[in-house]
Amino acid sequence: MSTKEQRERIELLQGTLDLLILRTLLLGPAHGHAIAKAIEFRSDDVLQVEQGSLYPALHRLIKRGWISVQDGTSENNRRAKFYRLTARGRRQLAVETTKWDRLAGAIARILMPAEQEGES
Amino acid sequence: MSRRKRMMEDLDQDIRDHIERETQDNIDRGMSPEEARYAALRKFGNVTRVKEETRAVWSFVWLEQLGQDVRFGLRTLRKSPGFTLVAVLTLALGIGANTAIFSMVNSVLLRPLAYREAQQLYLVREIIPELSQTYPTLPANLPNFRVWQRECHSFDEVAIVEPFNMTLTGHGEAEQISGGRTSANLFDVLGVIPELGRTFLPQEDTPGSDQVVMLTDSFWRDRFQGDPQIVSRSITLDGKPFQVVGILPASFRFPKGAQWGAFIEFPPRTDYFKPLGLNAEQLEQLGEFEYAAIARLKPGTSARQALAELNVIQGRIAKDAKEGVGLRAELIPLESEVVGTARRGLLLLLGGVGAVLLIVCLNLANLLLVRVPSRVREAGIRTALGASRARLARQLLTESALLAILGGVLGVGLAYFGLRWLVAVAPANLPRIDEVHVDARVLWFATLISLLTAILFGALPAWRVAHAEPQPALKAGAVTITEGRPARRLRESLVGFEVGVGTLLLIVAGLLTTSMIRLLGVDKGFTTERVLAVDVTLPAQSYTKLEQKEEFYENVLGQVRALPGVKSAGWISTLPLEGQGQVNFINVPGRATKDVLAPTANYRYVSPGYFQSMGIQLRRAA
Repeated sequence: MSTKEQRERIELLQGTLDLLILRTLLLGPAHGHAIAKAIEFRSDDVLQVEQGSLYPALHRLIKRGWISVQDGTSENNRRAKFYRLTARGRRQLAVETTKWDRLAGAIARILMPAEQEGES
Repeated sequence: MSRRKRMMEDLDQDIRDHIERETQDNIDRGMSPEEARYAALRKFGNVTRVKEETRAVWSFVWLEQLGQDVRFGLRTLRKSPGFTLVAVLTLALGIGANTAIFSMVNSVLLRPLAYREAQQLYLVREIIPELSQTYPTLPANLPNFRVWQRECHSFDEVAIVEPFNMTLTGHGEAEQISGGRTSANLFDVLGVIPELGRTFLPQEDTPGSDQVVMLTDSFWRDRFQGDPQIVSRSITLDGKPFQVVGILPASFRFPKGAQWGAFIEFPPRTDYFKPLGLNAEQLEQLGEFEYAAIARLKPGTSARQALAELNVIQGRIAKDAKEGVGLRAELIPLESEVVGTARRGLLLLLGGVGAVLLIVCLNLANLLLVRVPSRVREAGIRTALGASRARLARQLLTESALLAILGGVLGVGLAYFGLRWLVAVAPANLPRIDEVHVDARVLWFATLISLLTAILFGALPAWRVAHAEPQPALKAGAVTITEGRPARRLRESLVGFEVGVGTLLLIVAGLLTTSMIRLLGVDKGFTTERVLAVDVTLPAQSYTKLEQKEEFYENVLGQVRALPGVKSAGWISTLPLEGQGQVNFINVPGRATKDVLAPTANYRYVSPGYFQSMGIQLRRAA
């Protein structure tokens, strides 16, 4: 792991992890390790999740009823806990995504103001 | 509960699987098994903390941890009994003193008078500008009161009351009982509802129908054993039958002494009230300024508006009277008048015990800081096992809280017994001192200052332990480590601060003591050593003639003088420093001064032997 790589990785904002988990599970049920891998892979390794922090987040989502957990067998025929998006979780994902879009848009507008500022 | 347990078991399995998968991935990427496992663990993070955070999702984890912290804290405290004893005892003293003084502040200053909407009640005092040099304000005058009652629209109602003593006979030994003679509406104005029976009726103000009394709860219990049958029965006062119409509630208190302003002196004990019962003639003649007048303002009327209206009325009264003097009035909030100057003294006292508690805190903080190095070692081990800094700090704060709670419980006990002593030695003129006791508000206060104390003396040591570098402590092994220079400097500045607060306290205490000693040393002009005083009042109905009284007084004096051990004896109408006695005008023959403006003097009547008994020296003899 080079220092350059580390510098380019971003610590997750509080609460964003929940959104990422929900989004990942939209593709289908998955076990914990697979979720962590998916988040890293799909963000081109930019988002570095301390894998352990996934578990408190998963349990928080279970408690809120946004995901459920059940036993299943993994790709290499081993028993594993599979996390699955519930109907409420699906709705919540839509809400959270809209919120995130608005937040990201607002921040982008502040960080990259329109050209007129450069001219004045 | 069961769901949580199941979830936590699943979590263990899940985490094991997770790390195994990650290890397998790493091996697939070409790492050695050992390397692969190590990398997987590193990537996963602190397993203990993950488990704890997950458990926190499912439970009141803080409650469990609190239980652990308390058990651990108690063990630690038991291991150093000397420190624990000193800490708990000093805390008990500090918290106890604060609780006791707060109880007094609570009863005297904070708890409202037990009257309905007491903030609407005002004392009405009169002002004669021409006399205000000598008498800034005067008690109310009866005819003026009658005018206010008729004409002042800012008042919801106004009542007057004056001190009045009577002799109770027919119930065991004859006894002089003290209380007040009042307009019938007094209890309506105060908003006091009787415990039994009723208050006075308007028609009971008139002579002939005024032979009714209301008794205070304490007098009723002491003298009539709380017998409810007494209501509507008759008792004999000054030889006449009076019907008991009501009993006042136990919470009823009547301000005493000079709490009604100068020149009215209510006795320390209130036994009863009776209506004024004055006839029209008595009501209309220019009376004395001798009544306490209490007005209840109409809702929404400010004191300033009421006073403006009252002063207009006063101006008209003065003009009609043609005495050649002005007349004004003053409205004083009843609550502030009752509490009066006690406020400053009590708050000073509260500040004093607060400073003592601060010293206790600083002292304990220092003691705890000395113990920091040894705690850092223990903290180092716990950090290595996965404890977070917040958790370490919480553990130490729990220990402080335990000390404070133990000290607080002991302190409340001290305060409870201390209060009895304080009330016993407190100056009798401290308003509402008889109402002082430990109530729910006082207990809340004690709890609050205990916890505040814990934070105050525990925060700094806890922070230092939690933020200390654990490695040097662990490396040092069994060798004891000493505190660094910054730590020593911190402790030294704490000691400095402590000495500063202590000095301040000493200075204030010294100043107060000096004033007290000066006050004791003032030459009063009489001596009280080896002098006894007895109060005597003759029942009016048995001693109607002057000669009878004279004979009685002569008789008593003669017999007292004959007692062995008595050197001298004498009578005086009012003891020194016991109020005004009689105030009369001095009329110089041949000089015509308007009556009201004539010079006044304070008279006391004495018998032979009085000056000798009191050791009063003559300045010059003719």
